[in-house]
Amino acid sequence: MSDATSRLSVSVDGTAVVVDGEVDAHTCPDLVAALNPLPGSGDVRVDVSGVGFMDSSGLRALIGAHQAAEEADRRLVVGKPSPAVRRLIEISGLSDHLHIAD
Amino acid sequence: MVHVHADRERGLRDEIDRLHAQLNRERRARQHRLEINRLAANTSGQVTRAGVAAVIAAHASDLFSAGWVMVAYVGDDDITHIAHGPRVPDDIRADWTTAPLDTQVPICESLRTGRRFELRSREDFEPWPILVAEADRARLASFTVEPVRGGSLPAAVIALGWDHPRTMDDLERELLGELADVAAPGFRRAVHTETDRDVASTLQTWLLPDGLPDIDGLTISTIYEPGKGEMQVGGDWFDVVEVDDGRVAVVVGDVVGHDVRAAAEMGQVRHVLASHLAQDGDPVNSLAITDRYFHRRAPDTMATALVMVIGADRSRVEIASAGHLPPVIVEPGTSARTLDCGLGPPIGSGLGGYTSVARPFPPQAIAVGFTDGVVEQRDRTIDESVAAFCHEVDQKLATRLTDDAVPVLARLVTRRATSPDQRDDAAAVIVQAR
Repeated sequence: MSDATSRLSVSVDGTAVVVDGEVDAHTCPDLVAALNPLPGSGDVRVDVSGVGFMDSSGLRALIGAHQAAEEADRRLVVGKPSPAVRRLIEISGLSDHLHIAD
Repeated sequence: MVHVHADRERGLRDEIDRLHAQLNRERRARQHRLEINRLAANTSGQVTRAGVAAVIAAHASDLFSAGWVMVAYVGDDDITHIAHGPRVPDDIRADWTTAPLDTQVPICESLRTGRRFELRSREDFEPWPILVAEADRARLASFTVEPVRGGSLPAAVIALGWDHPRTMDDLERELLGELADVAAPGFRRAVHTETDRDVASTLQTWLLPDGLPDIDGLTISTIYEPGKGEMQVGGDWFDVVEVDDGRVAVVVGDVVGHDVRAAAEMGQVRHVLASHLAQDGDPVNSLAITDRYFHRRAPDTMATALVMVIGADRSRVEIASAGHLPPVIVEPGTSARTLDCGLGPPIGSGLGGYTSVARPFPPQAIAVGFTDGVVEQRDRTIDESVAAFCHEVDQKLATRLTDDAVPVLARLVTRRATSPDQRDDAAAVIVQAR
């Protein structure tokens, strides 16, 4: 548990979520907890500029939150993905679905 | 008077020495407790008993200024498995990695009975002929075996040895007891993980296709390799589905997760997708239906999949991807490259919007669908990793798409999937038009 905490930090301020570190199967529950239920009201911005590594479990968390936002007439914006995370979103066929902002 | 003074001075000096010794002892105990806790934290990343035992064996010798350390547990095979600390002589290490549980040595007896042993000198070794015989080679003159609490029998034992006769003091006994206590949860957790992994890996094997149909006009090879360590189980799969009208759908996919649940979900996704492919052979339609189905029925299930449908005359291929890596294709006279395919989101996302790309599949051409366990390298981006794979395919085939090209590539894929630095599980399908 302490291992997971030290590799990922997720902070929520209103509807601004800042994710730092590595998102994988072990650390992902922290990200899911921050996004489910969606924080605040209105659009949610998830800043992933500090995410050096993300695997498919991280994508699943983002897609889940994206779908929850759509259903509530809100938007989930993925902010400032690093080239590696951006590429992961691309090869996973999600570029046309997730809202991405720099 | 003088005598009285001298006595009092001596008394004071003794008192000061005693306090000093006590302070030192407390400082040492505090330091050791810190290190014991650090050691316990280090075991938390280990998912097998072998891993937990190795971590303790590697670090405990410093704690007790012991010449060497062995940590032993009884494996599923009912044999004693032993992890060695760095100072155990190489030949002892080689001869004592495992031992039958009924071997007459204190480590095995402690595992059988839960007894604690403290042998302070070689005289104490005498009830143990094997220990007496090995003592010189092992450079061993005193020996302590501490059981790690388990169920009715110890979960493991920690054995410390020294090259000189030695009696542990109370503090050392206490600290060794504490080390055994903090080691117990690590072993307990590892037993659970090992059981889970066994169940999941059995499930995974059952849920993959058992034997492939023999298909006219195509040579097909499929590969599945379990991962290592914690990642031993995954949700990777392959499938070969005959469409009613003579087309053939070749699938490779990857369910998110690395546990029993991922293995079970894989079986479901594989069959839902296959049943739709078998009916109408339309990759776009089949992916869309499967995506919607899992989004509604099992929202936590997510999988990527690549579907390649080869025409009834084997001359064309239609490719669609649900968030999956594109296939690598080799055609006569060209080098290996990834193919553009219709790229949509993962199955279960509920996002839909799949497309496909249809293209010629000339005689002798080979298409390889694979999961990231075949290509992924930690220190490279996914594009670099795939490029390195293409390069290796070219080297192996040397542009000769002969009849043995499929087995040659199957060996390459298997070697990559089983390489020591590949932890993830891996699946692949290799298909060649004849």
